[in-house]
Amino acid sequence: MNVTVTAGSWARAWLPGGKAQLNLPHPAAAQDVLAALAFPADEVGLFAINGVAVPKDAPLSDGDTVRLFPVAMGG
Amino acid sequence: MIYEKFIRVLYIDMTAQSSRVEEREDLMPYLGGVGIGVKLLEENMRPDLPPLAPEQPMILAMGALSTVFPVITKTAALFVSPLTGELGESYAGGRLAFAMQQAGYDALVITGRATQPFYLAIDEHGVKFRDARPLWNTNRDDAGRYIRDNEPHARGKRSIVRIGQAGENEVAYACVTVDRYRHFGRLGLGAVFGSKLLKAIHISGERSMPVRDFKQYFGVFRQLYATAHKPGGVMSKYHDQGTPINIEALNAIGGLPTRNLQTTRVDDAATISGEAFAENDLVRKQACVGCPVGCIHIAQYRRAFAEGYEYETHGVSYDYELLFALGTFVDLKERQDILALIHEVEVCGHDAMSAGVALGWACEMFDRGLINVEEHTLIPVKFGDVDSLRQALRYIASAENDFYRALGKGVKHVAEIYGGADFAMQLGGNEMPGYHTGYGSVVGVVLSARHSHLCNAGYSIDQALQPGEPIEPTVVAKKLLDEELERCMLNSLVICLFARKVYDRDTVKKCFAAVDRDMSDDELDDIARRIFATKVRIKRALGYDNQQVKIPKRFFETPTSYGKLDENTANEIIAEFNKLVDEVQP
Repeated sequence: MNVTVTAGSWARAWLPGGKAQLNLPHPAAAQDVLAALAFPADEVGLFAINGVAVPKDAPLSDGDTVRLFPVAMGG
Repeated sequence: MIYEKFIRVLYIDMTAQSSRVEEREDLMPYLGGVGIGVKLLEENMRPDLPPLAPEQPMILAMGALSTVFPVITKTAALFVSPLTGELGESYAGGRLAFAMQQAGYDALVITGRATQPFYLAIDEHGVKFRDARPLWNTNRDDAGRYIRDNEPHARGKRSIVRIGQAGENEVAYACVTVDRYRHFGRLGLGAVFGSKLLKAIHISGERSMPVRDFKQYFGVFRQLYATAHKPGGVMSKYHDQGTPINIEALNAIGGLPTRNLQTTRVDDAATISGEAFAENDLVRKQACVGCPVGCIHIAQYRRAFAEGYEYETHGVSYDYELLFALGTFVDLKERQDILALIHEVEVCGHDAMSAGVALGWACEMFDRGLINVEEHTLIPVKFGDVDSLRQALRYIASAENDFYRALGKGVKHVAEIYGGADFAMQLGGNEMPGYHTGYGSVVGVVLSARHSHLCNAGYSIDQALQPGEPIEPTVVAKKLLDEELERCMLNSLVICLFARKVYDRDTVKKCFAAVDRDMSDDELDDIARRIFATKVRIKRALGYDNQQVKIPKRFFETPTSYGKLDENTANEIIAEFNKLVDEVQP
């Protein structure tokens, strides 16, 4: 299936330009985009599919857009 | 100080205008920073007197490895908090730890009350009491400028810490500004300064600190520098957008306190996100002495002060906690409005978080008609109205009337007088931090020694859970305590907690070994327990009992990113934590 992954500029080290197109095998879950991008899992606090927040194991469908949000940080 | 067998303490008596130095071998088991700070507080505090009594001490303590290795930049302040009435603990970066080291003092203990305003000029030769009457009623910038002009010999190797009007008038959450852009923010150290008629401290020195084994030292230093400075590494996000990255992250998970915690999301987070500030308002970044990261983000605040295109501009440092407290919490939606409010907080000398949460409570009280212009607020105090919020900050700083005087003692206090305790967003008497993420954030702040998210990072524990995932109170309590114990050790060094992933146990031991001090895990554990147990004794002596803490209802009504919290579960975590605390022996 084809999915689009987007993230803000915080993710530029792993997602240059803030966007990538992936072709993933069926079935796939939101968190599977990370391995495909070599994106460190502990940097991601939330996944959203087509604008809706989802658990990391939420199933993906062809044409979905996955948005990555960072883990909240501080002292 | 590295290589020394004692802790060098400078005692200053404001009443007698005198000082003395003691070299304390007995303090070595407390390492430095918060360790020696809590011990000196315990020795000198007076539980029988109010927090702002002249006899009460305040302690500033640099760490065991301050400025020796990268990102070990902070100074600890310990005092009896005028906000909570119990343990006051706060940290600041800037140049202060470096200047203390250059002057040759591990800690300052200041007691007494002067007969007129003074500032202290401290160097390796001792203390001078300088007349600060011309500085009273000046803000941070004017006070800093005057002192720099008046102490011209010191140049760069110095630090200037000072208070604004809020501190002079003993607002219970007044801050102390350190070198303009850093602060001892929380729990009211500024009021303690004000109560002693101490406007500022200028500290400088010329001591050198030769390293004995340069090869070993530099090897460790270089490795740490590379780790901290690596693009895409564990600290790069602090340099890049900095903590304002949290606006979008917390909004997405529903953990961003908004409109006095009536909700945890805003409609358009992108307009006030870290990215938006960085792209539109950021003008430069700065670093504390000894830090290769540079996380201090300075934005330009531009204000028209007259018709005819007359403008003034100000550099305003911003961080997530400020954007939450002085942005979403009071429902400001424009970046320049938020910067205006941050600037006002700086000028007045408030703690940004407590001031913002106090304003949030006042706005809701006004909205509900429980307070009014005539008897209380003098002006309409409304969510989203930056002009009224700025004026309210000034009224708090000047203690304009009974209402603002009460508001300046914190939301717990003011709600006891005027009502609204269910939505006075404090935990343990300290105004809430910017995380409504679950039990870790809420109960964690209640249980932590200084009622701060910085003691145990409960928000971080929350984020490891999926929404609604079952929690075990014993496990949460243990995680909170384990993190707090480790931070007692790290805060005795005193590292910047942004670098906590850099300073794991092996790294800490390597650092000590590089300066001829071998430390085992057992010794570091002992130090952590010793410091924590001292804090617990101090809190108990000052009358604190976490089982008496009443968590305001709204914390349970407004869903966190984990979901709605249950009061019984919160109480179970508190009970489990207390069992564990009793097992911590120094």
